[in-house]
Amino acid sequence: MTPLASLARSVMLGTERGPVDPAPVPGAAAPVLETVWSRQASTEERVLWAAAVLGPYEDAGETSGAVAPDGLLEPAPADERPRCSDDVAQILRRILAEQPALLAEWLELAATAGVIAPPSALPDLLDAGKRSKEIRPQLVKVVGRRGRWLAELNPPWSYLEKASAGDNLTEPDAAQLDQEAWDEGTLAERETFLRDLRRVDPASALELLKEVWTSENAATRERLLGTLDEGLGMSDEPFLEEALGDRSKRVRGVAAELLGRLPASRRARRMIARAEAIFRLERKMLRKSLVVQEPDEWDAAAQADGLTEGAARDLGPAAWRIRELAAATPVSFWTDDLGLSCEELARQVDRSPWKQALSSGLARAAQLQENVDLARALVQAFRDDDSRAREERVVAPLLPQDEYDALAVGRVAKAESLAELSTLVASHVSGASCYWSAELSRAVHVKARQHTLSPETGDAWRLSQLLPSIGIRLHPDVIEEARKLWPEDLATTHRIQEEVDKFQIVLVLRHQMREVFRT
Amino acid sequence: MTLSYSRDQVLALAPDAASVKAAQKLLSVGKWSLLAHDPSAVWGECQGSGKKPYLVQVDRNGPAFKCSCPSRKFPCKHGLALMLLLADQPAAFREAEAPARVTDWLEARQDTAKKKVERARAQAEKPVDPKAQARRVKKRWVEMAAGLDDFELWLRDLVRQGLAALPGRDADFWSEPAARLVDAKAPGLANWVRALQKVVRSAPDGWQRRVMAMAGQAYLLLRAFRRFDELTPEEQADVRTALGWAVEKEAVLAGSNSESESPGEGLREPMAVLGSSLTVRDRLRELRLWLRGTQTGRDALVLEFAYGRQPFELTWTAGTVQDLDLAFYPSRSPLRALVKERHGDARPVDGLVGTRSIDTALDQAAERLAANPWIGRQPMGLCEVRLVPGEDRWRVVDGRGRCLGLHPKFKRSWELLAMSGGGAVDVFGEWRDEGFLPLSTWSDEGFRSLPHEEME
Repeated sequence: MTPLASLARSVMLGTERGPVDPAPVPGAAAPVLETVWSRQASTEERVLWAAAVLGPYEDAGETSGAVAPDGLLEPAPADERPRCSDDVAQILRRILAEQPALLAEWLELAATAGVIAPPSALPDLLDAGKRSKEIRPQLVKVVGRRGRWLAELNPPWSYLEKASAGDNLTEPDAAQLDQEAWDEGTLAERETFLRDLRRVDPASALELLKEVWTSENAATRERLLGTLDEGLGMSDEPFLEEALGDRSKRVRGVAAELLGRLPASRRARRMIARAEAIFRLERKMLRKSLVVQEPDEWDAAAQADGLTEGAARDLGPAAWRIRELAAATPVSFWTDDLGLSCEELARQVDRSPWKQALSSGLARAAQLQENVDLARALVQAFRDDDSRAREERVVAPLLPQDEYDALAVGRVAKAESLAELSTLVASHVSGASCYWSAELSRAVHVKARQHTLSPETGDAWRLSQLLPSIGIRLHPDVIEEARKLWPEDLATTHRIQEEVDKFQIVLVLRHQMREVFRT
Repeated sequence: MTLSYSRDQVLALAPDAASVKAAQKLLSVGKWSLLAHDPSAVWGECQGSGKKPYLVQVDRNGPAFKCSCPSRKFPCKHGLALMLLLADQPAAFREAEAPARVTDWLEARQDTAKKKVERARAQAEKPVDPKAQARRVKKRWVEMAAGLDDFELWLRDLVRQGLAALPGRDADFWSEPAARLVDAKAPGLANWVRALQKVVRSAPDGWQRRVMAMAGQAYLLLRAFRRFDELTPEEQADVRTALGWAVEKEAVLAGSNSESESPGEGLREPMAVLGSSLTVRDRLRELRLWLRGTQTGRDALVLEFAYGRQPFELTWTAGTVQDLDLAFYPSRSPLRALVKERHGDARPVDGLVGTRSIDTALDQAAERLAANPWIGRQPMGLCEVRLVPGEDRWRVVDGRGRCLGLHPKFKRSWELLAMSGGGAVDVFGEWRDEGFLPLSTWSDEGFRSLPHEEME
């Protein structure tokens, strides 16, 4: 305790309650204090005098502490990659402060250019990575060695280490996985562990699951069984077939869905047998036509295979069964057993009285079995039929990116309101790239502009939802033309103008960002 | 050289966040029917809601703004937008000869500036009537004395009734003496009472010692006031400053004149603006700009005050060097200064000036404190120090392993550590009673300001 602290303690209860007896003070202050205490004055005055002497005395005598050399941090290793230019750093600061939605694009550009972020921005970048998993793969590259060094020092940033492990090794080593998470972790941790292991070594993961299978409760079985969709193959079939007989309905459902993805499974063969009884091809002259026999209620075996009973707004009980069966039947039944091409099948569906049920079931089958040919044929058939827009959304993502984009272009061109455009834009967020193809970008912003300018469809609230996502997803080649095409002064309301101005600012910033990365 | 302002510098000029937002909406070139500049000015025409576009112009030396819009904010969104556009898209501006409205305005500004300097010079050269001054001092002294007597009783009661009673005191216990001190024209001590209340209320570890130290400081001030006549002019100035009895600007400017007999001194030197820290008390904003001489290493503090949304008069950003004529407020340890005149344009700093030894820095601080026990925050420049993170407190360590704790209010430790990469960096900041508060740094990224803001 310092002399001043000791003095403070001695007057805690006040000089009126007792004498003051501070600890003696060593050093140069001693004679001064002696004079103070011997003064002819009240105790209070003498205490205040002593404080007046001791305060500056202690402040002026403040000394440095000592840190042993081993208490110092190991400095960050030098970075191999060059730091980005000042202009690029400047853009980054603006993005972090004003337009965080553009961060992913900046990171991608920086990673592609092979440059790293300025050190002063690292804490903000690491915080951003904590909030959003999607940017981590690029972030790992762009923060460089110094960023990884920094992240190790601050526990909230520890996610980076895991992300950078993924950066270095294309496949994580099975031995590296944390067995403890499996033995002692929460359900979510066990699920993650099993999924990770499936990615590297599906067979051992299946073995682990089998070991614990009988001792787990239904909810756990359901969740863990779901991880088999990672690396699913015929070697999982016997186990899944067994799981079809599980006590829990939900576990049976998961098993049925997984088996639906394996056209060579025993369940698939049973489905073909059922399909043969229901779906038939009749030939009259040269004309083929698909005949559907209305199915009876499912028997016990069918229900065990995961076929359900039910009804929906546009499906009666029989239609429901038809959809169920079509969804569970391997595509090969139609193409090989019935000898229909996917296009022919789609045309048959169009003409069938069970059009809605078959469309829905086949779309699901294409999705489960990832059958691009069927998806393409169905998209063709659904194209001009608004009643099957939902089914189209199911199969369209199976198409290769360029076809998917082209499809979206057609849809966008027909969008009759900003609301419709918003729905399309929201559903069309392409996975890998942060922006749309040039063609789609053009279609979207031209359509958005058309509706913005029209007094009937211009809607500031919609626009405030729509324009920001358009702003960040426009293809780079389209940014400049969009900037020029969107008028600076719209003859519309002030609120709409405000949204358009914000949109323009994003476009200008993106344009500048690309310019500075180019130089 | 044409002075250019970076985006950050322009944003620092904005009176509030709403202005920045409003300015950002004007950042598309299409909103401007004219964008032009020459070496001394930037001007443009911005289409507003009315028929006629607003005429915006900026004096690059300053910068100073003028706009024909009716906004009461200063600078207005048009001025900010014009400078932001220049920072972001210089290619959108054409070089041109300034129109008469711009050149006339620049000339008028120069005239005003000249007149101001002349007025100050005239003031400075005006012989001070020592008798009249003494009369004024005496009058104020009498006004204060009664108030300070009461305050001394309050202070003694505080000790008599004990520190343990303080946390339980009601608001009147603090507000009454503070109000009385304001009436007695000792606002410095009134602030002191409020600060004491804050320490008691927030009760940090060892608050009793802090209270005792503050009580001692106040008592020392009272004793010094009683012996005012026996003090040297510099000591008198320090006592007056601590009481909140500010020395008049004119007297400071006069004092810096070598022929004057009053204390205070002048300095002409290229000064590096190394740090800024903003304190907000109710609606009063106080900006501390720390300057350090690039040749002598001499420290100076320029204080700027603004109410509410008013902008500060000086708008320099940390990281620039300005050739200045300074007039120091009289003190035994002069720090606070007024800017008499600015010569030429600003240029970026090329490094921090400081010491490599923390002990040397502490010795300097102790010397200043010995000369003026009420000095408060001091500037401190530390070169080649490393950062050590800590659970409750971070520290800076010099090459000899001596260390100092960072101030608990410093929020940008990770940023500083990132820039240092664990290696040695130069750091400039404020040395305060709870530790060292960095305000800027020089690393391999160059100069970076870490401006500090706090509410009081």
